[in-house]
Amino acid sequence: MVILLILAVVILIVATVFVSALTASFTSLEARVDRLSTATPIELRRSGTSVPTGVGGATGRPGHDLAGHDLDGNPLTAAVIGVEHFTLLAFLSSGCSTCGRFWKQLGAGDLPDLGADTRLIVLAKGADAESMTALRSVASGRDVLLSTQAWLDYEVPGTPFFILVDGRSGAVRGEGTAMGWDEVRNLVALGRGDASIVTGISTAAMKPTSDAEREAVIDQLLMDAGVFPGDPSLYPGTTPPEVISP
Amino acid sequence: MSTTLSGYGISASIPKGFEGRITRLDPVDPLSSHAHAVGSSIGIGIETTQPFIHIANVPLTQTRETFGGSVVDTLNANHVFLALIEYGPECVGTNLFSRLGLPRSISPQSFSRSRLQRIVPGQSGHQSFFTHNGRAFCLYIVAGSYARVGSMVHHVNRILRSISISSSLHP
Repeated sequence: MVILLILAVVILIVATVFVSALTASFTSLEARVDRLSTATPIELRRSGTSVPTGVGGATGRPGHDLAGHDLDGNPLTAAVIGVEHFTLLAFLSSGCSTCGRFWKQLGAGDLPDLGADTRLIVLAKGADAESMTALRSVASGRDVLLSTQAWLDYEVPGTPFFILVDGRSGAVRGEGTAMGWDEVRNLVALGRGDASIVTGISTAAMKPTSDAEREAVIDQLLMDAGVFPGDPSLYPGTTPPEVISP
Repeated sequence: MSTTLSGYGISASIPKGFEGRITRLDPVDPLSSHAHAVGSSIGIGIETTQPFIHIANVPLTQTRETFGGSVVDTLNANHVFLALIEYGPECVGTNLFSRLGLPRSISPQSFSRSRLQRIVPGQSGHQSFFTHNGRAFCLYIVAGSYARVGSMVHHVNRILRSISISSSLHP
């Protein structure tokens, strides 16, 4: 009886320790998930309050062509839909501190590699809502499209804000805010479904080469090493085939 | 579906897939590097303070030469570039600008490789000089492919029919 009682107490202690360990582990995991979710600067809104957005090919809200002025007051329009490329719209303002790093890099010509078929258009609000003197100062000669209407059309919630539009379908493919160009590149990659932008490895390099290309590369390497067609080392334990010279 | 482009007494309806810019450069010293950047205006009477309008179905960047240098190089067979360039008031009434009114319809036969301001293989161009509402203009069009001018012309004519030009830069 005493033995059974001791055994029951031991089992109870072990079970208690096991449950405590599981609880601690879960709490730690939960804390990590919380940290990760708050540290991610991009908010990709799959279904917003008034602007449901499809990211990565789902049905997105429609894009809009742009009309406004440049910093010299010259009128311009820009085609965003009905074109063969993607357009990344960068909504910036002269007053927001986070925009400062984007302006600085744009002014220095330090533009992100968004892929060959993605056009970057920088937008700011018009003279009705922005200081032209401040904008000229931060833009440093960079082409900026001033259009308060574009902010209304795309329901821009604040700055900096980035929207990727697929010109072929005319739909928004991704949107969000960011702290730097790396996050913007991620947004573009997600919207286009193109991992090569994020990894920096071109799609061509990621594709397996064809059999013929692989053979050619191997043949060249062997010949560089002095191993030519018909070399016995290529046929261990067998008789090499007869090689006919051209 | 189209967008309206308007400024300096000129307006145009920009069709889907096209974009436009109206630019009026600041007066510059003819010997400065900027003047050379729009070099086609040097010595033939164009005032760089007159506006020019560019419309194309390719992206129009901030740095474009008056006759489309830096843009026409990007045209492929499906692309077309249109420039409407205003000349100075001293040109009004001269022989070159004696035609009255903006052409509203261009025929494919009016395109030729020899009418390009700068020869780019495969491309063809059109040039018209005219006076409209007392303002002197050159209409310059570049088709990305000489072989496909016919299919591009209807886009061009649609744009031309939508253009309005007032008698003043500041109507």
